[in-house]
This record gives sequence, C-alpha cells and structure tokens, in this order.
Amino acid sequence: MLEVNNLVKNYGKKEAVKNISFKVKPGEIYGFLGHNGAGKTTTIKTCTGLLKPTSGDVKICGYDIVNQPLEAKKNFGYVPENPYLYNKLSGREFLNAISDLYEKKDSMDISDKIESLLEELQMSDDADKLIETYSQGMRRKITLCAALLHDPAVIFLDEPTNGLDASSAKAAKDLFRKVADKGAAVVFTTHVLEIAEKLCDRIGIVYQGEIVAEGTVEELKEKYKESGSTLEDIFLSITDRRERN
Amino acid sequence: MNYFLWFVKLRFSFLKNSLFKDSNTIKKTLSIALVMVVGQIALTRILYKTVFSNIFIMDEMVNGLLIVFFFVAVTWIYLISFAQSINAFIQNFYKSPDMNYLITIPIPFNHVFLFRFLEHNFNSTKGILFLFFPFLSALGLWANAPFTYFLLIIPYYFLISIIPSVLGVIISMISLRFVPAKVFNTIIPVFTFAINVSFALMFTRAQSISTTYIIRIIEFFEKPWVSNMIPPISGIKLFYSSIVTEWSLLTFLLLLLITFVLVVFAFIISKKWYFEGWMRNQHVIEEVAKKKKVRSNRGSSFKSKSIIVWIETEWKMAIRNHEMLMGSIFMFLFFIFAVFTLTYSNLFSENPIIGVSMLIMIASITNIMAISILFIPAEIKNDKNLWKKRYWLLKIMPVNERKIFNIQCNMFFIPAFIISFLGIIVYSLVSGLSIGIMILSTISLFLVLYSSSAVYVCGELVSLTDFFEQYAFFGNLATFLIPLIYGVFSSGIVTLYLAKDFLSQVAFLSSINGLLSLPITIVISVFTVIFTFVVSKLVFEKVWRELQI
Repeated sequence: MLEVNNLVKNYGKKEAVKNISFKVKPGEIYGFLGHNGAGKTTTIKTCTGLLKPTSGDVKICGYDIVNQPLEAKKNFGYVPENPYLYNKLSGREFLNAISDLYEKKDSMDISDKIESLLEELQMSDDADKLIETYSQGMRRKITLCAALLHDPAVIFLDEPTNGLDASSAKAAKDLFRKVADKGAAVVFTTHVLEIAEKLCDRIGIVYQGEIVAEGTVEELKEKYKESGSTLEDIFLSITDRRERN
Repeated sequence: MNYFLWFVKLRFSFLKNSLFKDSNTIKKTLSIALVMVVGQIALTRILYKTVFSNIFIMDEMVNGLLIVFFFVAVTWIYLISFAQSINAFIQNFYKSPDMNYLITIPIPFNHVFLFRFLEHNFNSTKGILFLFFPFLSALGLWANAPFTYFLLIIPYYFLISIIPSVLGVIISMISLRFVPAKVFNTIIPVFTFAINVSFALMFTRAQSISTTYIIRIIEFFEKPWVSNMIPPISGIKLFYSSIVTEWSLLTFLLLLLITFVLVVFAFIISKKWYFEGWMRNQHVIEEVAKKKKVRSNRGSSFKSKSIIVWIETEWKMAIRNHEMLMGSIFMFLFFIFAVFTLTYSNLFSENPIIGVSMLIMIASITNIMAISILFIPAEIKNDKNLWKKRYWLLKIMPVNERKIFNIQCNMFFIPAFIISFLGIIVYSLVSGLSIGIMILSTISLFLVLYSSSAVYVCGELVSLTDFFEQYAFFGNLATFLIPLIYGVFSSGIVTLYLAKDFLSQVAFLSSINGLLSLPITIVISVFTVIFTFVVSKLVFEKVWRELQI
C-alpha cells in the first residue's frame, strides 16, 4: 500500500533523508520515531509530494508520487505538524470545500461523513465557528477530519496528538486504530514513545536521516533486550550508541 | 527602566539582524536600497517629464498652484493615515503575534500601546511613501526647490502623518469599548471606502476651484496664529515654506506641540482602555450560518463543479477578510479615480474611445491586484514563508496544475471583470458611445483582463520560488512590474495610438507614436494578450509541479 524505496532528500549539501526504505501494509500502523531534526517530517513531506525526492521512489497504492501524482494523491490523507488553515472559513465550510476536491463517487454521503467525523473528534459544537477562533488542538482535529474525509488508503500523520487534550488524544488514537482496522495504512511520527508503544504495529527509529531500527515493539524488545524493557529505553540506547559513534 | 529605550533597542537589534547580519544580508540590503533609490528617481523623472514639465504658467501663479498641490498631498496623507490606522487597528494593535508576549512581560500597557503605535506609523509611512516621494520630488523639481526640500520630504511626511494616525487610533480604541469587533470590522471598510471616493470626487473637481478661493486660502495662510493652529494647514505650510525657503519655525513648533499633545493624550487613555480592548478582542467568536445539510450529488459534472466550488470558497474567505479591505480599496482607487476624472472632465469628449482604452489599461494593471489583496490573509501579508505554506492543502490534493491555474485565475478575474465592466459602462454611457463600441470594449476588457489575471497569478507563484524567496524584494517588485508592463503593451499601446493628437506635445510619446499604425498596434496588442496568457499558463504549471513546501 505504501512503499518507500531508497528515498534520499538533500537540502543543498545537507542530507536530510539518507536512503530510507520501508513498507506499510493495509491495516497496519507504522510509527516513525526520532529526535528533532532526524528527518521524520522530511520523509513524510516527500511521501506526500510536498517535497521532491532527490532520488528513490514513493509508491502509494502502486502509484508513484512523482510520476503519477494525481492518482497517488487520491489515495492518501495528510495531517501536517503545523497546518496552515483557512482562517476565514468555519470548520464545516472547510470540510465541505475539501470534500469537493476529491473525486470519490462511491463514498457514503459526504455530509453524513463530515458529521460523524466531527462527532467522533468532539468538534460538532465548534464546527460553525471560524477557524481563526480555534485553539491549536481544534485546528489539528479539523485537519484530521479533512484528512480522513475521503476514506484514504494511506494516512500520514505528523505528530497528530500534539496540542490535543487527554480526551481528544484518546479519541484520535481510537480513530487511528479504527481506520487501520478498516484497512488503511497509517504512518505517523511522534515524540511520545508511550503512544507509539501502545498504538503502533511496527516502528521505525530514525536517526540523522536513516532508519536505524525497525520492527514490531516485541521484535525490538527482543533484539535490544540488553538495553531495557521499554521502548523508551530501547530508543535512547540506540540513539545514544549512534551519538557516540 | 526606560521602556521606550528598551523598545528602540529591541527594534534596532531586529533591524540590524534583518538588514546587516552578515555580508550576504548586507549585499542584499544594499542592492535593494539601490533599486529603490533608482526606482524612486526614475518615477520622479517620469512624473516630472509627463506631468509637471507640461504645466506652463506665469511665475506669479506658481506659488498659488504649489499651495493647491500641497493641499491635495496633505489632504491625502491625512485621509490615508487616518483610514489606515482605523482599518489596521485590530490587526496591528490587538492581534499582532507578539502581543501575547508583550502583554505578559512587566511593561505598562500604555507603553505597549506606544510601541505598537510607533511601529504602525513607521510601517504605514514606509508603505505609502513610495507613491508620495516621487510626486513631491517631481513637484520640487518643477518649482526649482532647494536641495533641503528633498531631504525634508520624508521627515515631514512622517511628522504630518502622526496626527491623523493617532486620531484614528483614539477613535478605534474608544469605539471598540462600545461596539463589538464584528460590527467595527463591518462599518470601517464602508467608512474608508466613502473617504476614498469623496477624495476622488474632490480631486476631479479641483480644476474647477476658482482663483478667488485660491487667493482667499493664501490670505488665510498669512494669518500666522490662526492657520498654524490647524494641523493640516501647518503641514501644507511646512512643505511650502521649504520650497520657497521662507522657514517658518513657529509652524513647525506648533505642529510638533499639537502632535505631542495628541500622542500623550492617546498614551494616557490607553493605560486603561488599551488592555480592556485587547481583553475583549481575545474572545471574539464568529459563528457562521450553519450550512443546510444537503445530500451530495456526485456525478459526471463533478470535475468542472469542483473548480466553481473552490472558487466560491475562496470568495467566501475574501469577503470575510475585512483586515485587507482597505488595501484593496486603495488599489481600486486608481480605477475609480480614473472613471470619475474621465467622466467629469470631458477630456476625450471628441473621441471617448480613448477613455475606454485608458480605463481598460488601468483596470488590467490595478484591478486584478486590488482583488488579489482580498485573498491575502492578514496574518501572512508580511511573511512569504507562510504564504507558501498556504498552498500545502492544494498541493496534496488530487488536483492537477491546470485546474489550480484555472481556479486561481478565475477567482481574481471574475470580480475584477465585473467592477471594471461597470466602470467602463458608466463612462461609455455618459460619453454617448454606441452599443457596438460598448460590446467591442467589453470583449477587449474580458480578454485583456483574463490574461492580466493569468500573468498576476503566475507572478505570485513564481515569487515563491527559491530564487525569489532569497530576494523577496525582487519577487514583490516582479509581481507589480510584470502586470504593469503587460498593461502598457496590451492596452496602453492602443491608447497611445488613439491619443496621437493629444500627445503631439510630448516628444518621447509622439516619437513612439510615429512608429505605430492601426495594424501594427492591433498586432502588438493581440500578440501581447495571447503570448502572456500562454506563457503564464505554462510557467505556472511548471512552477506548481516543482513547488516544494
């Protein structure tokens, strides 16, 4: 469903992403862990077509993001870390506008879909207020609704729980699991290791633009059992070791 | 602690870092400064050559006419500064991003107000002066002003604009205690529009002011205490006295004193009212009428419908963008002003088609820009980086570059066309043009304006590329200059050809005119329109494909 092969992204002389490859299957939640500046956001931006890869390829449902961008874009949803939203629209108007740009003929009625997403993310009461009056968490929730509106096969989430209160974060996590269970491939980045540990089916640890460890939580615990018993211990041990080298 | 010095130091550090941080920044700053100086000199020369050098009057009338020109200039400074400070009040004083920080640090609120005011006045002076400086300099050249006059233009402008600015700010601060921000935001654009239109009307009537009134005004100026107490007249006298080198210290000191008193008054009242207003405006929640739940009807017409739906969404946002309305009105003023002038002056009564062609040219240069301003969210007007980020959503959507181009082009073109069409029809009806000519004019306007919209959206996108991001000033300049050049070649050339007889006195223009014949003019005009559209579309599509956010 999502296939990233030998992805390289350079900013001038700086190599932000170095030869990254991974696959995410339908129904799987793949967590991208890493320090600030490790290359997580750059990887996701390259996967979504916001950045051009220096080399390598990204295939979404078999469509290449560079050569078949329209087909690829029809099949994913994306929630950026700091989304710029249209402040002069209400949340509902924004979702209506977004829904019109996706050519999805066999989806359930779009108004019902919007209502159910708003309800699930506890946004129904605020949907008719202008986005400029929203808090950071509300902005994130409305972006999340927009990303899930067209039932995408692949969902990219960049720090999706940042700014959410405990109850909204729980609702969001439940939603991620639900869409994955329905068959979507979910890729998300996070700094919160507990979330990754509880939610992800597989984890990739990124360090200075490279995936330095990959596997299910159990596989990682087994492989790095000398480092400790939690994902936090494993993550810190791997990154510290790399730091020293 | 001296808060004022703290603020000056802070701004100085900010300016130092943004203009002179390293050798590359210094080079960039110097090259931009050079371009600006050359541009201002060129504009001054053009204004002098095309407008002022053609005014031949007797020596004894020069002083009277100078007063009329300064009267117009100072009135405009007052209107613009007053309207700008009211219009930008909520955005600059209450919603500025650094307010949340400034309010939390131990600085008295009235000092925060003073910082904001100085910053606002400095920025609005900077924004407007590029228009005023060439006008006032060309006037100085015409009147053989001494060098000191040219040096004093900017300080005088800044000083004169403080009073209307502070008045606007006081009125806004008081109004927002009684009126909700939503009502304030609705009333203000109507008010500023009325101010601008009345100024346009006044200017078109300026030629009919009888000499008796001019003499009376001059006599009034000679009563020192009375006239010096009226700030706009002090402003006129300051400019005037620096040209005729009759320095009026009393005028200067009184203007300074009145300015100081007003700023101190605003400073005192802001101690209580500014913070209260800021508090009230933190919780403005605008509810939008709930959209009726409709069953979605998605069929074969969806592809073309999605363009219309997205354009409608963009218009919805533009209509609610009250913060930028003043800028838009200001740009429209050129067109409104031209319509009024041509309609009332009977300048081309013999051949009104010249007027139509001139209006099409002005519409193609200014009206698309005027409309586009409404689409710029207030929070990103000063940050090109955010501007680029605004496109993230369209960039990840399954919409191809051709569709994006159509959306962008039409969302500017349709409203600009309607407004331009109305202006041209009013002028055509008053001038008694035939229906056939009106239809031809409408078709020409449609084609010229559509390409103008295309070149504008293309320029806007190109200015977000890496090169122009590094040299933002040149990017901004290009978004203004390219439509200007397009306007000149697409319809300006037709005006030039038609106005052959009127321009015989202007050597430069009549020499170009000598090269033009009807077929050549039509070929150049049509070629410019088609070429511009095709190239803009191709460039836009390529840049969109390459755009990285």
